Amino acid sequence: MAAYTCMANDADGTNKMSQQQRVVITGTGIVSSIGCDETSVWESLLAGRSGLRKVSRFDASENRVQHGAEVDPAALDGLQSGKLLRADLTVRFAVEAARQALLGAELELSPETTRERQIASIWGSACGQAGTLFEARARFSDRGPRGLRPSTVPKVMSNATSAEVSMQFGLTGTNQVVVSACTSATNAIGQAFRMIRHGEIDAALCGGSDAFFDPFYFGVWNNLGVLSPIEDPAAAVRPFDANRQGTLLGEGAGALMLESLESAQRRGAPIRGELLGYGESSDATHITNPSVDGQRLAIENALRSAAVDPIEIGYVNAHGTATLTNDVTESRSIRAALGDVATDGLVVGANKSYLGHTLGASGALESVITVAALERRLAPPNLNLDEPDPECQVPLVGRTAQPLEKVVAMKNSFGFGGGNGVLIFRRFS
Amino acid sequence: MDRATILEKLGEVIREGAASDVDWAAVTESTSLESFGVDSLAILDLIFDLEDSFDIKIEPKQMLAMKTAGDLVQFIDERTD
Repeated sequence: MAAYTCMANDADGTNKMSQQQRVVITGTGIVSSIGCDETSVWESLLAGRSGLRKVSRFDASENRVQHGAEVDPAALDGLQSGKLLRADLTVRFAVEAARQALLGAELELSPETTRERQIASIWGSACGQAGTLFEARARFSDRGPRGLRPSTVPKVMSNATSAEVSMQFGLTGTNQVVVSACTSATNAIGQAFRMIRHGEIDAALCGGSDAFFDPFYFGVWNNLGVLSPIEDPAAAVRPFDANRQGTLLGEGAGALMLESLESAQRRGAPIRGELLGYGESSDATHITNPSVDGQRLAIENALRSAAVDPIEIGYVNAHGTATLTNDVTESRSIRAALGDVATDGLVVGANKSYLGHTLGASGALESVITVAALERRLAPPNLNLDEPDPECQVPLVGRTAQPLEKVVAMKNSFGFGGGNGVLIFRRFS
Repeated sequence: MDRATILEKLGEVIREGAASDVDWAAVTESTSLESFGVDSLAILDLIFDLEDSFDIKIEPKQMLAMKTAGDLVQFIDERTD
């Protein structure tokens, strides 16, 4: 149970900024390779259906690894404005996830009705509008400046996602994109959480989106050497398994509608869960090698922010990339931060064996799943965990879903550049 | 190129670029350009695409002075063989 005190607002609501608001989730949205709505995604998780397969959007045959988790863009056709048909997939994914979150939160989807509330639009993305940028670069290489359409600038600017979401739904609060590699979405959600907690705003539509199945981007990731060469794509990503050989890329978006508890209750909104706390840190050591000390600091900061004891954590939705280094480091960080109690009533799971590594969006997709898991009191299975790595000394969810007895869960995200972000959620009752 | 051919090619350019959701089958020379829902940014893209496709030069103020698809067809017709 959260220990922090939520002070009552003054009757006229004028002192909100000096008081700590409770932050709740009133809607979620998800676009992924295993489903483009939360129900479909949850069904895929329980059925063990991975979204990883041979890449189809372009010819990847010259790459050592040719697998990934793509979203079928046709699944988004007919949604929102036809104007978006020419927008980058990163933007389209985000707008769809945002639409679902607003719908779930029972907020009117009309700019006329949402603009009065100053709802913020805060998104994370590691790659931005990579596909559009590379396409424009190819046209430039072919035709010089005459190949560059005037709208290229607003289409590839780093904040295109948050801007388009704000315009589509009339969100008149701040709009911004957080860029911090694989921690981007978690940082974005954390930023929104803080603004609501401190009373600066009372609602934010936040999350993350990344779409980068482009020959160039796929090629550079291949050559980085972190992608799993296992031939069967459904068996290729094996978080915490002794025989893991790396991760695979995935794309998609996740969205959370965050509101102050007071705001949600005032309008009778459905409350899906509570966001209790957020912590972050930097390793300050190496651009790609993770650090136990850095990750532990972020977890400890999140626990302090949430005012929960380690024993209260029942589920960790791990970063769990299935690279050799990440999973060992993350296991040690969890042990270091939670102590011996980490083995008592705790289960650790990861979603990347289904979704691939959705990079800057991963914290959002996996937060949506964490909220769903708490609500359903069930930790979804880890695909491919056949032989737990003895170096990963944390209690792992195997191929069978695990009942969740406790009501608090932690979502870890750790990125290149040493940025670490941790969110702590609680089932709402 | 006759006017019908220009109109047809205009449709291809506009649907591939500035206004992909336009039902071109319903467009005639009397259709207003405003009905395409092209905003100020998309107009710049449209000018860019038209210059590229028809090998002509269009000043933004010339574009803004045109009201219908027929005006655009006329403009292109006067500058192409």
